[in-house]
Amino acid sequence: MPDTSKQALLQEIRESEGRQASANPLTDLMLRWLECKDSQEASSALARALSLQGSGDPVFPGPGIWPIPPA
Amino acid sequence: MPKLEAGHSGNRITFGCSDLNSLAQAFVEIDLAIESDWIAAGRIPAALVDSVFRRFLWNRGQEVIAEHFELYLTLGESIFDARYSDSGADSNGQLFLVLNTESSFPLGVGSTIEELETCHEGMGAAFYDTLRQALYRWIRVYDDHDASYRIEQMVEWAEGEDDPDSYEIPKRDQDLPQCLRSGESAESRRSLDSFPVPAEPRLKDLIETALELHRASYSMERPRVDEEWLEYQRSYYSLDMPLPSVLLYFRPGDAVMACFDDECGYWGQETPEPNLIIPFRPSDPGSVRQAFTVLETVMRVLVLTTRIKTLIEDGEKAKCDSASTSEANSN
Repeated sequence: MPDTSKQALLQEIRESEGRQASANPLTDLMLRWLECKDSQEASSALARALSLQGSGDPVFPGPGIWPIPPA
Repeated sequence: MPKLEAGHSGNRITFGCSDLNSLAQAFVEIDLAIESDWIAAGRIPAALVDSVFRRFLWNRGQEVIAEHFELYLTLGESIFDARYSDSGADSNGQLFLVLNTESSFPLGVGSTIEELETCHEGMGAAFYDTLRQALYRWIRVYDDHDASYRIEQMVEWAEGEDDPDSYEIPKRDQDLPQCLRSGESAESRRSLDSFPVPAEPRLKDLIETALELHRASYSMERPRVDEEWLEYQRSYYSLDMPLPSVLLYFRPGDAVMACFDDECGYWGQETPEPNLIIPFRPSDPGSVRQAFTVLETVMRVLVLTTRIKTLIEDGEKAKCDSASTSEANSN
């Protein structure tokens, strides 16, 4: 494989990492969570992120999805 | 997770996109993948990594190996399934190719050892030593040494009981081929390549394959895993010894088999340590190349082992056929 083609391919693979991340709705929500200054808002964003699949369908179908924290 | 099975049914990639991306780049750097592979993989690094593994295994005898062995090759950031642990963080930027076994490949060598001894005295023992040593460099082998250790344990346990004579303990020595009973160590015996090659084509093929196995096995050093880290893994996760990939016995129902069957009952209670751990850094093409060279060596060793088994079985079948014909003629 010629070196120029190899370098171009390597560049394309490198760039695909960012493309993949931004294509994942979970990543977007997680990024929003990281940017949240308010902890309540952050928790909500995280809960939404964790309860959605890539398709947008909820992972957990009903209420009571979060484990009860230890006393 | 590529699997050393013909069907390639399972995939599970549990480490981060970043590692996969680095690995995909390393494959391009070391010419394991080209642009057409990238396009065929839908321009997705994980798919490229998966397809490169599949092709690599397929081109190196995966189908032949999967016919005989039940081995699982896993790619991950831990040396065992760590879904329920937090061990992912301690891999120090490394990924691991891990070889585990589900069942042991039985290889009966007693009659072949004796047959070789009739060709040249010492040749059968040399064949056994060569086979054991070549395999043991890469995978765990259950053989007469393990049986011997198990028998010692059984004797100790029986001695602690009220009626020690009531325990039936396998007798290893009487099941050993005559040439292995002397107690002479493998190091003091002649090497297999010092014997003249037998004239009989099947035995000639057998010896040449065993020598090739030895060469393949010793062509590469077993990858080094940080001992301190491995010790930590062993103790923290209570890892047991690796399950044997090969059972090297002499005759069906012999002491080695009896001890193996006895020990089987205890295996699986703890997570076994893998037979082989190949650590590498996905961001370092040289490290990835080295890991694949090791993997290639292991696969060559396994392919040659299956070849030896086939040759042994062909010989036994020919003897059976010949005995049946003689019996029919005498009637």
